[in-house]
Amino acid sequence: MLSVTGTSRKLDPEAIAMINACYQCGRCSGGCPVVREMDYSPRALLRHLQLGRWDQVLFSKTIWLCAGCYACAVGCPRGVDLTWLMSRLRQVAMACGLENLPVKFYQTFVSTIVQDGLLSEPIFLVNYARVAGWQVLAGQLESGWEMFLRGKIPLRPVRLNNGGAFRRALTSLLQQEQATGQPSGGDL
Amino acid sequence: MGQPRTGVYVCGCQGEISKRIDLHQLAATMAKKKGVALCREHESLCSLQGLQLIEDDLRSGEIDRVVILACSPRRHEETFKAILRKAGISEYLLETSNLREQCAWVHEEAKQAYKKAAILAQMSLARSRWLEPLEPLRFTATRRVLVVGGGIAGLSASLDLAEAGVEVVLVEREAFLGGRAAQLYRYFPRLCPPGCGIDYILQKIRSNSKIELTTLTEVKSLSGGPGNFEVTLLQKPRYVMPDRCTACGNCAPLCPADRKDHFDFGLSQTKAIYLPKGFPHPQSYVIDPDRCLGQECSLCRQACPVQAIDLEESPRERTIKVGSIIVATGWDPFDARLVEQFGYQQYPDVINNMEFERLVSPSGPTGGKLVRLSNGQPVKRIAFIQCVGSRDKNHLPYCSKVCCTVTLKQIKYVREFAPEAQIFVFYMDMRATGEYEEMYRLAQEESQALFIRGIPSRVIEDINSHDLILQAEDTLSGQMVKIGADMVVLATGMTPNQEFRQLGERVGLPLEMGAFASGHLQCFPFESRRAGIYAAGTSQEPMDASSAIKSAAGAAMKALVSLPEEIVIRPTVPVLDKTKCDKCKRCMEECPFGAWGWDDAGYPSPNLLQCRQCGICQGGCPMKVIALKHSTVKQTASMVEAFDPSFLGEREPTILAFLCYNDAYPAVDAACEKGLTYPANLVAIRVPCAGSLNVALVADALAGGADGIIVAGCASDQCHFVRGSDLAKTRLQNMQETLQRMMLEAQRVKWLTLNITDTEGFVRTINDFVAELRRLGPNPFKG
Repeated sequence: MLSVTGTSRKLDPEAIAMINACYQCGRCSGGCPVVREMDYSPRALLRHLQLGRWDQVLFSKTIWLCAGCYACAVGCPRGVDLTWLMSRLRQVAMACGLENLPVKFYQTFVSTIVQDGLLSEPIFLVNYARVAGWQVLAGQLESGWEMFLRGKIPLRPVRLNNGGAFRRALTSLLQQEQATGQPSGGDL
Repeated sequence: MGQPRTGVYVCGCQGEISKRIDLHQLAATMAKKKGVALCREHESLCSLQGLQLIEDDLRSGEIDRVVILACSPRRHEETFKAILRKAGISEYLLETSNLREQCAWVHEEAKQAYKKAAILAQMSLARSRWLEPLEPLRFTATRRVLVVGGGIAGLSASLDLAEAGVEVVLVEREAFLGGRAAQLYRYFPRLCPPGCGIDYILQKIRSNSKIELTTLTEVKSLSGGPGNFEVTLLQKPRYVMPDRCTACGNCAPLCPADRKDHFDFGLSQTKAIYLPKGFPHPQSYVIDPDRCLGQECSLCRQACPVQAIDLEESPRERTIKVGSIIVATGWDPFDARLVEQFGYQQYPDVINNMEFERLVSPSGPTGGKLVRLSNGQPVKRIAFIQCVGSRDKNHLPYCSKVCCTVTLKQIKYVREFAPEAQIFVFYMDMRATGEYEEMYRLAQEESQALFIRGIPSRVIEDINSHDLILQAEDTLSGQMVKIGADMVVLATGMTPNQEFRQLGERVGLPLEMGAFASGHLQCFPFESRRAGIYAAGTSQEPMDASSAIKSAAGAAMKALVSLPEEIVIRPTVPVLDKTKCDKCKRCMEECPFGAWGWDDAGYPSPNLLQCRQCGICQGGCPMKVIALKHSTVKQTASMVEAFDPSFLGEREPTILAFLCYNDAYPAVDAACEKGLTYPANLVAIRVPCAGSLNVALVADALAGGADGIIVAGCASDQCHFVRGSDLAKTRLQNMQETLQRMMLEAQRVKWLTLNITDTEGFVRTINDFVAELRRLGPNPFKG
């Protein structure tokens, strides 16, 4: 159940200042390479944020489609770092309990790395399919086959040598983050 | 002069003061003090009767200076000063004590109010002993104005001044007049050709003998102040003698060298010898020395039928004296190369709005035909992008004001030259103010331009056809749109002329907020940071031609005011005692107005005509050798000395406050208006600016036993003298060491920012401070 009460308080003053600064010129949308796939353009999403329409924002496709290319932020005349804002909104969405496919993808990605010390595609796909449903593999068949033919997919799973030490280090970092509530080592 | 003979006058203010304070007793006490020749009580000193009393006493010779114990000096100081002048005495031999707004009206307890009144009177008497009979200072003025810049604002200001009977020296850097307006095809509101307006002004200027006009001339250096500036002008060589040249044009076809014509922003070329476009003045050819091949070539000289060419001409310098200066150096278009995404100067068909003006002008690169620069084909689809460089945190933070209306005007051009063309305008807001709104309506209704509210992120070019593609979100419908265009016009904003900016910094005329003087400020319109130098037109801020002409009239008016026959300034100027000066230069560095120079012996010397009499120099001088007349360190020290820190009794803490005259003192005066009262523990001394207070006086006050000290001034960005508050704050902070050595708590000295409306804040601070001082206990130096 997605809970949006008190969500706006989750945004830091810097983010709030940026949201207020936007004067809706639309340059961000003009440069966005994936705008046509989005339900709300980057500009429209920021408008919904200004009006406090959190249900539109957190349930949108927009925040998950953002490719992080920075075309929007570079041109913004009001200095809004929209790319960073998008990543904050994803964090807020997850903190509110949102569980869509992209969320499951991210979570599986991270847990695979924590487990094995690196990302091996076959292992990752299997882990992902387990939480997302085996139908996600169907969409990967064609490109997966091509990759396999080119030797990009090792049949034997690759694991890190001292996986245990890495796992312990990463786990303790993540626990620290949980405890202090502060992200460690920059935004993901 | 002998011993001072002071007349002390105690005013009851029709009962307003006498109701709270026993004035009989006060008068009796004052009459016995040393140096007091007489002491009178009156119910209303500001009445005709009261004033006559003072005047008679002055004329009788019994007294030679006046101390008035009455209402706030802000109320009647000028009234009393006038009486002194009437009696033939220097108005600076007057001292006023504020027994009403800062005593009777704000202290409820009568005994305490009396004690405070007595202390105030004592302090005023002490100061009065150090007053000097100052007279206004007079200087002869040069009744001539220098106008820098021969564009529409400079031309207009020159004419306005000349018609007011003032001599004008007008200098223009280029070989032609008319500036940027001359580069336009049409200008609004009437969409007439600028040539008409400029020609009209030029005819009048040529027939006005009061205007001396030279082109190819720049300002090399300037010094001095209002009424007596000295300016060195540099006239660059033309290499053609204008009184011989008939502009026959025989020379140019033979010239082997060419140059980019910057009148057309480099879109066209001329030979190295050329007749400037616009309004060449004089009507003569000019040689560009950077491109000319020189003596070895000389083809032009051989071709010239009247031997007008002089390849050996050298630059000429001359120095003139003027009374004031108007800077009308104009603007440059924002460099759109900085917004790389739009492809300016990468794609040939992306141009800025000034280049567009040249494109449609008959004297321009295409002879006035609206064709593509890439292939010469007629323009069928044209797109304008607004706000390029303006309103942008990454470039110009301000709005350049004119670009929206310029685009609306240029849409009309498109209809005139390409009636069938499709026109698109990508905008954020359309700012067409006043009657220009009609241009907006016409652009939509008649010219049928399509306005898309959304700025493209970038412009893309097809390498072969040079066709341009723009993609943007039409925010009004929420849909993405993609437009193909033959030409993209970037509505670029205005920046101040770059070359003059460098000179500006050399002469202490820095740019603020992107211009020499922001024109819309209410307090100092047209004034730059340097007294006597005014800004007109777009060197002030972005504006259209009609506003530039109006602003020129305003600047001319202000420049006129700096030109009396004689300059009379108030004598409250800083004076340096060279015997103790160690030439540390702090006064020169801290002065916000650059008013300190050197004298022949290497001592700092104030330029009195540039000085704004704030006293920041006095406040900072570590040797205390600078005296700001009528607010000298000695005079203030005498008040500090006369202050008895135990005036309310042994147990009561007392606070000495130094209040700046601009905001802090009025804020405290306003307490009575707001019905507020505060403890009588506070005694105030007014100073011209918080920065004029030398912190040695704070140390003196503490050594004398004052329990607490307050220094109050305007907010940092509102100080009338730019830095006074900031410097006062810093100096107080630097006092920490001194306080430690004196074994005094740092909390005893407070800086207070007081806005003129901050009375409530002030009252709260005083109450808190008194409580704090009670907790801290008395100053160990007391008693």
